[in-house]
Amino acid sequence: MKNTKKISRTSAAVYIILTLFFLLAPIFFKSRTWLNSFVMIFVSVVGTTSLRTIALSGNMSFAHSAFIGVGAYTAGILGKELGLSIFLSIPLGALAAMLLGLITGWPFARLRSIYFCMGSMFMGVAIIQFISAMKITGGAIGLQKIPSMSKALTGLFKGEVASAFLDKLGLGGVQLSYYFFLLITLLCMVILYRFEHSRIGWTLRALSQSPEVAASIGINERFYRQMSVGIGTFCAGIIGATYAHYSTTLSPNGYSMGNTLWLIMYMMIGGQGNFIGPIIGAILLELINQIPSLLTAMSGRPGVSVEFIAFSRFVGRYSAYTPFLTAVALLIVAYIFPGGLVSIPSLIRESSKRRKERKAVVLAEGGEDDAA
Amino acid sequence: MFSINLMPNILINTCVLGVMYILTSLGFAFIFNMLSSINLAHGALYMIAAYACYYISMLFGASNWVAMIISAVILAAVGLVLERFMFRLFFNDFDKIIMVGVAIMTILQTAATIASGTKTLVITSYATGSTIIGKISISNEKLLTFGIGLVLLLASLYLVNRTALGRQMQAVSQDRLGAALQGININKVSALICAIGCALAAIAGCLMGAYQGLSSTMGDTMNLRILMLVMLAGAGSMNGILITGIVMGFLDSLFPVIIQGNAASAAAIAIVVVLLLIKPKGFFGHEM
Repeated sequence: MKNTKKISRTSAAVYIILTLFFLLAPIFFKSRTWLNSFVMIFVSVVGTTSLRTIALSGNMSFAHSAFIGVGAYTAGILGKELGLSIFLSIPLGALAAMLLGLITGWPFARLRSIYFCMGSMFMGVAIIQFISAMKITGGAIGLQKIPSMSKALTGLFKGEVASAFLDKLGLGGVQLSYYFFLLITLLCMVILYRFEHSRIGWTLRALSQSPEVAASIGINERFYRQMSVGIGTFCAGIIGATYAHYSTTLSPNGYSMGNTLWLIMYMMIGGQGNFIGPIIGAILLELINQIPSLLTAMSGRPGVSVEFIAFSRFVGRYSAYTPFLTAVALLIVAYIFPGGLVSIPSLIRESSKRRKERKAVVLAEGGEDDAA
Repeated sequence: MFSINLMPNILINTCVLGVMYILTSLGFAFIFNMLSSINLAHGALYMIAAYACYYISMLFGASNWVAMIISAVILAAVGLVLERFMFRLFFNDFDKIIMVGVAIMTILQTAATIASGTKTLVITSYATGSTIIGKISISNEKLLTFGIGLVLLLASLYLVNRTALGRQMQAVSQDRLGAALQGININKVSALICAIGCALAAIAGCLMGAYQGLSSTMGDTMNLRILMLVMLAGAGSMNGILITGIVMGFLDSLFPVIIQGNAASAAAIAIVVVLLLIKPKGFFGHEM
């Protein structure tokens, strides 16, 4: 087995490039549509990666979107009804999601693979049904008028010097919220990365390989499974809560079963075996989903050629067909690249290595023949 | 509000819904027990069968009954394909089964969404009018749905418990290797149960499409019911499904009457959640 503890040079480069890109993105992409798309990507990335943390122990959770929703709704209600500042409501939202995850995870921690998958799917739908049945959440219409994050963030820079500094950098409320989102995302990634590459992560892998063997050497199965569920739902909750304050409106449809399926598709297309897989999958596929709205926004700008507008209209008309693309990608991954997209470079490397070896063998045999 | 006069109606709805739930779940339970795989796309297959029935009768002007049979045959073929390229290929490979299931589910759901758009489609009724039994008037539609469902249910129970194929199915679900050693053609039995399961789901879909109307979310709703039934019944339990199906049908027909709006489905789910938290492994199944 490869030593995955040491971070490989390629993936380190990818992490650095991605971080730099998203750090510098507001300079190049000034319009709000682009930043909104990036924020959607952040939500998917954290959702997918935290889902993978739960799946590390061999249990696939089908309720993950619902936990993002719990975080979002808790933060939204706390901010709207009690007027809490975002720096209180976001952690509280994350804690609420974690608490719910731990409570519902407790009886289900006994279940494995298929049974856990069915139980969690069911749990997720139940949570969303409750959210859309309650009055305080705004029911099926959704929660509106959540205090916006940009106001709270610009409020931090009150003094004249600070606001002048912001103006000089060209940071409005939108950009500030974007950077806050990026900060939360990076924080979640660091937490999840450290968690996975700690001893607990290895214990979870052992549990997914064989629960019986793990139990025989004294690993408390339920404790470790609960731990992964706790961390996973915490990150889901925090990103949901941040999103609630970013978008200021929530609807229960945004957290239904279908969205969990999207997260699972991102994870599996990207590659479940590596930490970087879900990140790549989420970024690529979420970008594909955002293309129609991005094109529409771009064609609205002055000085755009007629062909581009026609093209964006064409894409917009067929935007309902994008799920087909993702589903077909998933089928291709399932049948051809079981390791996901990130496994393609190593597959190519291996096949070229094998070809070289074969060539070497042929040459060696030829040499022997000559000698004889 | 609730009054005792509504009780006969609730009981009739219970019977109709319960039978339909059980019929759809049977295919899922076959695959679950005998191939130990989870077919996430089962609800989506149920939905697409209803759409197929609608479009066949629309485009070719075929009568409902013919359309229903054609859609059942198509779905049986789909079941055969699924068995060959999904369950047999990825036996005991949980992640791959989930991958393919999710992909199929997404494809079918997107297709249905695009096909129906914002319109509400309904399969025209199989029967009109109503029958009066005693003091209660029952619409023929419900009676027919219940009748067909019951007949199919009894037929599949007979198949499982009394015929050679049924015994082979039970043998495969108990011990795959042992069954193969006794000369049972496992692949043939698996293919047959997939085809039968999908065809049953298709017929349920066609009947429910006339009873409740078509929507691209009807598959999700049914998927949830299937999971509830199978989870509550427990692994490996066929008879448990019969009981939990009736219970679910009762909850689903009682709550919309006594609770208004969205809370009805939430209340039904709440009861099942409580039951599941008490016994996460189900009530009738054997221990894993």
